[in-house]
Amino acid sequence: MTAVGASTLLEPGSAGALRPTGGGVGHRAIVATRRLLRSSRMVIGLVLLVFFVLVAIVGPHLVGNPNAFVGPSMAGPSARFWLGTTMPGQNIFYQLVDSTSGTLEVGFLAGALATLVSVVIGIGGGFVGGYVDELLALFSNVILIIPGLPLIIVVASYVKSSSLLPTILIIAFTSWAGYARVLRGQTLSIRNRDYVLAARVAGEKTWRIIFVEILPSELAVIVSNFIFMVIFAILTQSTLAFLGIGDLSTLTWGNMLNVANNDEALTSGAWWWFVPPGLCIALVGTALALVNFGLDEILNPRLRVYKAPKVRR
Amino acid sequence: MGAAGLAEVAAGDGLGPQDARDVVLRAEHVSVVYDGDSPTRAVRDVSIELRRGEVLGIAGESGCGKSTLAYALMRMLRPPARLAAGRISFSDGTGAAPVDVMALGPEDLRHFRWTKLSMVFQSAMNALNPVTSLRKQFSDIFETHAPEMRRDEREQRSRALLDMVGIDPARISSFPHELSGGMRQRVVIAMALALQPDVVIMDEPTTALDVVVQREILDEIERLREELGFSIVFITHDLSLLLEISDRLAVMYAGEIVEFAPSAEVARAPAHPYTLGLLESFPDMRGARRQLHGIAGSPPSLAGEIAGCAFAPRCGYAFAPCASTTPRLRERSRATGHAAVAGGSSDGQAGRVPQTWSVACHLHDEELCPAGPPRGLDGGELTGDGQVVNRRPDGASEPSAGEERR
Amino acid sequence: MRYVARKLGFYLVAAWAAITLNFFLPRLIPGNPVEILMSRLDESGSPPPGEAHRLALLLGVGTGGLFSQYWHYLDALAHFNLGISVTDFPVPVSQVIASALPWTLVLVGTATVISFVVGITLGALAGWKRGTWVDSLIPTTTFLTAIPYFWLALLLLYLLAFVFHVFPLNGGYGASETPGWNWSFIGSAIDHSILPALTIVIASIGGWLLGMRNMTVTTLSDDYVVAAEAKGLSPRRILVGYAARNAVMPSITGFAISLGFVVSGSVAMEYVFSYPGIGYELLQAVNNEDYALAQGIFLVITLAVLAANLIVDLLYGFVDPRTRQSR
Repeated sequence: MTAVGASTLLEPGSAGALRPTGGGVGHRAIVATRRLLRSSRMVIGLVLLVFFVLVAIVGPHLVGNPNAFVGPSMAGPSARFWLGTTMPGQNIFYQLVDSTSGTLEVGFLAGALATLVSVVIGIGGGFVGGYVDELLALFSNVILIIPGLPLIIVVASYVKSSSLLPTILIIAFTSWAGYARVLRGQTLSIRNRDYVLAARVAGEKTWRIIFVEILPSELAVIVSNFIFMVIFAILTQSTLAFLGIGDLSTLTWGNMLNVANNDEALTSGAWWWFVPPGLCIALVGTALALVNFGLDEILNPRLRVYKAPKVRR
Repeated sequence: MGAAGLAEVAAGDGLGPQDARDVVLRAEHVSVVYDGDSPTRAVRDVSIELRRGEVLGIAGESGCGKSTLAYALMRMLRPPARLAAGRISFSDGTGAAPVDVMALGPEDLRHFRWTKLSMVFQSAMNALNPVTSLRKQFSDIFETHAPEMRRDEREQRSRALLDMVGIDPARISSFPHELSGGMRQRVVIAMALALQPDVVIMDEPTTALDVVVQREILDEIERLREELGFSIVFITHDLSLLLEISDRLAVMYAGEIVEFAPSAEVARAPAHPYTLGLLESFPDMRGARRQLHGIAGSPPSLAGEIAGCAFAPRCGYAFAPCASTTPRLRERSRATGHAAVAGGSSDGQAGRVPQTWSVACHLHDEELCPAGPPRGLDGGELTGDGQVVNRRPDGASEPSAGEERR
Repeated sequence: MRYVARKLGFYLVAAWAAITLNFFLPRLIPGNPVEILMSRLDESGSPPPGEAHRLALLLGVGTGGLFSQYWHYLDALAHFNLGISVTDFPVPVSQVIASALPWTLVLVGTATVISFVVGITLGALAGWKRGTWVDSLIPTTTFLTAIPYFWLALLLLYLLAFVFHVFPLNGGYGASETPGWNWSFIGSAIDHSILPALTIVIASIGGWLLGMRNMTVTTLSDDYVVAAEAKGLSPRRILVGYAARNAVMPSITGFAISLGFVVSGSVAMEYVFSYPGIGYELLQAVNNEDYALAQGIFLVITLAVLAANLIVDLLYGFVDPRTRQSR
């Protein structure tokens, strides 16, 4: 005898009680939200992000004039000046709050613009195919490989301007290439999938195929790219401002650091001047990165960690 | 058998002492659970025994737990999957005490793997490291398990293995992407045999290949088995393929074995409605013409308990007890006009141990179904060449089992 | 080999694109760049005769139509005529670059390689030991990747040079040293390079670590790794020869692309440390309206990054056998 063993034992009272599976759309949405919120990275990231956006919108109305000379030179943090004062005696906390909107503005606008360019060039090229695609791909690769910051520095210093717009434009048009390449690869693979081919054979309009069949399936990648480009734009703008290039009249965290560095906050030991702005930049960047990792965790189950009772290996 | 027939079939029952020693791999009451939001019981209290030199087939639809069982046998389950219960023991045939595979420490387990028990994975395309040469991958095996071998010995052995599976030994410097799908599968088989293991588990080894190559590989496996005498656990969803190459087979459904029988017998007359359904969904290997039917519906969710028979919702033969009482796997107790069933040796398996035939179905329970199984499942309805032609008295005019329910 | 030919072809196109971009850049300058530059040169001393003409050719604003201007520009480049620096008057731009470049190459090169190797190793381990304490490193590395290079440099400088006098405040070597091949100078140079190098390593290591961790986690469930485990290979052999060996491929491609970012980051880093490298010179040039020097440095940085990319690409062809066939 060889085939052996008791099958599932029938438990008393369990007869006919099949466990319900599946559920409606509403149920699925709740499950998705719950999974979203179970990712602690996602929650921390979102909370931080919402906080900074609120500060950017409401903050400037709650604090006094950040440029007014209100106190002693380079005073440390106190009850009156929470983060101390600058060399000419400005309130650093006011400056910090006021800078939030400028920094976020550059980040989101440049990120959005770069995403747009990468979507048009990446998906457009990938979908159209042929020589157009080859040329666009070559163009993307060339742009990708030319080091961005030196180019931005040269261009921004040649074009003298007193608004953040040129900075936004330059950052956007030097940073789209990497993601265009990713999107092109995705599009090339989706383009030949059955449902897209079927839509083509059925004579659907090109724009419909792109917007209905292709774009939705790449949405996750596009969102993730957008988040990374916002981080990149914020870091680049801060670097430029710190180096004293581009518009220096609008208050941003990078700008604050530039002034602090020029006024030798470092060698005067005025840590309260140069630590907070950098910390804010890093926190916004971390918040965005956490949201992205959270998304990744939700979309790529392989990265999830299971809490098994007995972990092998 | 009466009351005795109702008793569960116990492991080893019906085997003489000599036969028991002939068992190379034995798994008892194995259960595997995938932990998660809703824990899934993928393998449910499965017991099998593999004899020395035999081909044991495991069949079933995707998701029935057959691959999970194979991974459990090698102790290769990774979180979230874990072995919730069960014993696995291995005997090397020298008369030494069986090895308790579950009790092996990490180092012993490493040495056990591949020297005693090796595996051919589902997709040869991906089972080879894409960035190193075949030489390096053969070498890795020998360096690990036979550190005493010299470099030139390893080289010689690797080349001999390639030659053995019909590949030009000069290809040893090739990288996986330079080989065709069939060649890669041959390489994977050669690697599985590198240390002359007692057992090779083959998980869908030919599924990704086209029919002609599939045939070549199967012939190759059969030839090697005769030559080297290892045992095979052959896993596939293709029941008609198993009927041809395996000595005995286990049909799995929803994580359980529903029928365990000598292949030759099942080919003639399956006892479980699910086996019958599987048989009718594949063309016959020997080319006999018959109508093909699918089994309508899909397997149940494996999260939680299943009340009654897991197959009942898809079964054309289901009757009242099926919805409430879970059928257990037991030896067929009823005389079916087949002397072989009750413990005699079946023809075609000459010289082998007595064949038993177990099934988990109430139709074969004389208390619940005193009238006995319907014709077609009673093992009696046979034609001259062993084909089931009509399973119902009125034959083709009746819709297939699943269709009339959904 | 087709792979090598394709790569060479691409980098030729990229180099041509960079050179052409460089040709068009001065047109962004409001006013006549030659006049501005000449007036700056006159302030510094007396530029050699004919310098205005040479500058016009170099900046692509010489006489004739666009094509003739382009031709003259290429001709000037081919003769390494990059003009005279205002910042270091009257040293030729090519010479300024030649003396600044080694500082950056050695510092950025060494720091990047260290960061890559350490990050990849830790990342592979973090992926391998997923679910253990190593995972707690990840939030920290996320934070590190979001920190601006220059701010990190400021912090390190403040803590390790100003508060605790472990490292010198700025420069590439001590004021009392004379550059040359003597131990005293080399020691001083190393001492001055540790903080800048530390900045690069800390700022870029998190990216490598995270990327490698995720790729390792992904490859760990690939069939060949599962098969290697079934073969009873040692965990070390599986990690090094199978999982990490495959997981590192995207990082190598990433390494090439990241070189541009590393160079970018090092501009700000050199500014903070007043390190005498090419990035510091670029900022000097930009602030002094030293157009010839700015143009020259941009071109050299770009070409250097292209060359480094070419090397990594060729190396990749060596590491991944699949690229050796066509593709």
